[in-house]
Amino acid sequence: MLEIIDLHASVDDKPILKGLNLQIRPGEVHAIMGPNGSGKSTLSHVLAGRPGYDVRGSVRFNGQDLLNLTPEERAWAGLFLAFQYPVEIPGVSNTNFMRSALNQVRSHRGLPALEAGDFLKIMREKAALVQLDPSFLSRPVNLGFSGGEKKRNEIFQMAMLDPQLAILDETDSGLDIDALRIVAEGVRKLRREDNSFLIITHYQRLLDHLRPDIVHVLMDGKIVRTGNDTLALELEEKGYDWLKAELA
Amino acid sequence: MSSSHTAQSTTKIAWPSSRLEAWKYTDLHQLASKISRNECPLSPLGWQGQPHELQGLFTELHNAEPLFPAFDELSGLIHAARHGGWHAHIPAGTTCDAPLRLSHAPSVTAGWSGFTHQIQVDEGAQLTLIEEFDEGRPEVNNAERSAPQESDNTPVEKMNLHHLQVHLGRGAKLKLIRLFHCPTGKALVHQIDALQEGESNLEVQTISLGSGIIRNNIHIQQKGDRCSSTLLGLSVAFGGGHLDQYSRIQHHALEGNSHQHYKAIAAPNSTTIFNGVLRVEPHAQQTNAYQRSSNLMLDPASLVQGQPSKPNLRSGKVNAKPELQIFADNVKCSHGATMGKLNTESIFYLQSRGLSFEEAQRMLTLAFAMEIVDQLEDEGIRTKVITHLDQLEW
Ligand SMILES: Nc1ncnc2c1ncn2[C@@H]1O[C@H](COP(=O)(O)OP(=O)(O)O)[C@@H](O)[C@H]1O
Ligand SMILES: [Mg+2]
Repeated sequence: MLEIIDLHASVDDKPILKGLNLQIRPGEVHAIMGPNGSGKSTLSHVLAGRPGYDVRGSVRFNGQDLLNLTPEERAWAGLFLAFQYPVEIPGVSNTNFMRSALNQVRSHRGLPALEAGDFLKIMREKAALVQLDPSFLSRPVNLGFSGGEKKRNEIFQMAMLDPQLAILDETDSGLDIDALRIVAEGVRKLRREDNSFLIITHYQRLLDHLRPDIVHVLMDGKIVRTGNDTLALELEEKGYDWLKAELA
Repeated sequence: MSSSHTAQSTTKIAWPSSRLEAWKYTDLHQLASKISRNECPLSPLGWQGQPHELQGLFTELHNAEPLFPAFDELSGLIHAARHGGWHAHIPAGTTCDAPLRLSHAPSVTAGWSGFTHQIQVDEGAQLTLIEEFDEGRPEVNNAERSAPQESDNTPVEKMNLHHLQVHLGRGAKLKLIRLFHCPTGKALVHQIDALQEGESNLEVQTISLGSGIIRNNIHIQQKGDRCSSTLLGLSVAFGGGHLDQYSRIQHHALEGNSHQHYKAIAAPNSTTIFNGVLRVEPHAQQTNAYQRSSNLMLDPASLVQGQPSKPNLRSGKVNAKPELQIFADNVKCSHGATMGKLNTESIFYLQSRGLSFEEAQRMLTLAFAMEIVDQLEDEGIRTKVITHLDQLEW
């Protein structure tokens, strides 16, 4: 589904990703862990097509050259990024936003636009999945939402757009235990054999719910170790220093 | 309608030119010099559901004298060269609950036409007037439209000039809600001169949309104590449009209030101008004046995303100039002008959910505009504005 080969990204001549390789197959859940500043968010941004990076290397997504696509084309192709810091958008309601987004995505996947009633039904259903109060749907996107509400809104949007590959960038950070469970449950219910997840996290607790197939460690712009979920446990217990020492 | 007033040839009329500070960005002299006075203008009036209580209060203006001496040269020039206009007199104590609606027919033949209108609202009377100046669809073919010209080079063949004199008696209230729409190749010039007596209340809501040229002047003289003037405006210039909003509020008396909030959006290749002159005379103590101008410049997709499809497009241009002239010491005056572009993080966020760059830009731009549109006090105008904005292409 996703194949990243020798990916480099820099901002203003400052290299951040330095030759990253990663492969994700349909149905898999991957986790990426790594110290602050190692390039995890940069990776998610580069994959989603955020402007401002100097990018080299190859990324293929379902056979397409991902790096040549605009951000919206990537969304149409089935990529979704749950932002570490969701953006507040005054004056645009969640509902209008999602109606345009969903209809765009549907039209590019060969599906007809939704009738108003059907759209509202789907929206309420997906909001319930992450226990997002319906009153949030008529509010401006993320404006005045608490940290946890913003993250739930991200997962709500993900559920609406039904992506093939969802990247969750520290969706669990800043969530209390209940919110974490809600988010994790929501994600778990969206798992299918034909879709995949890339979960960026510092903590084991989200992984407890989601049981990743593969865990990677990202350090200084490169994947330095790949293993199964015991690797995550080991990192949670011992931190990253032992790994740094081992690599040095 | 009397269409033959003292006809003057264009060349003899000294229309204001850009040498005047107030006309720096819109050279009316140059615009008018390229076309001649239209000798057979359409009636500019379309009455819609004239409220009962107004029967007989509105009449066509024939040879009426100005309500008061002209504030500046332009009003005098339009008055002298006018093709027609209307006159309204709301007698003391009259309150019109239903708003009066007026729509002005577009200019159809080449040349310029001038109209003078007058509203006299006597002591304690109230009126709401909703006016539409819709110059219709552009008369150029699609091939030309897809490559909008630099606004300054767009040839103008038709121009309507309107001058409205407003005299508010003591405690009178007037609300004006106006929608201006001007396509490529046309120009609309409108000037309000309002003279306010004590405790009168003037509200002007102005929406200007277009790929043509619009110049909107609002001149207010607060002559009596405790007057209030509230101006709200939104300009949206696209497709090479040039929209120039000029206001001049002069406080002459005690405890005057003025409140202005303008927003402007300049789409690629288009220009908006805001010039707000606020003058507080020495006697106008305890004036409370507020002026805010927020401006948005849109980038073409080609600039942001490196798409070479329309290489000729440049970013929208904004000129915003607050001018405060304060000669009284005990006053509260504040002003602020902001100029900016859409937040690139917001655009990326919307795109990442599947909205195209243009749609993301449109959604955010609409959100910017809605702060003003939501305050429009007429449902019909609000709906029209939203329809226009929804259909915009830039
Ligand atoms: N736009 C940017 N400009 C300059 N430096 C950046 C920018 N984005 C990220 N960085 C730097 O790149 C490194 C990786 O950042 P990031 O990808 O956010 O790390 P992580 O998500 O793993 O904490 C950090 O040192 C950060 O300061
Ligand atoms: Mg990060």
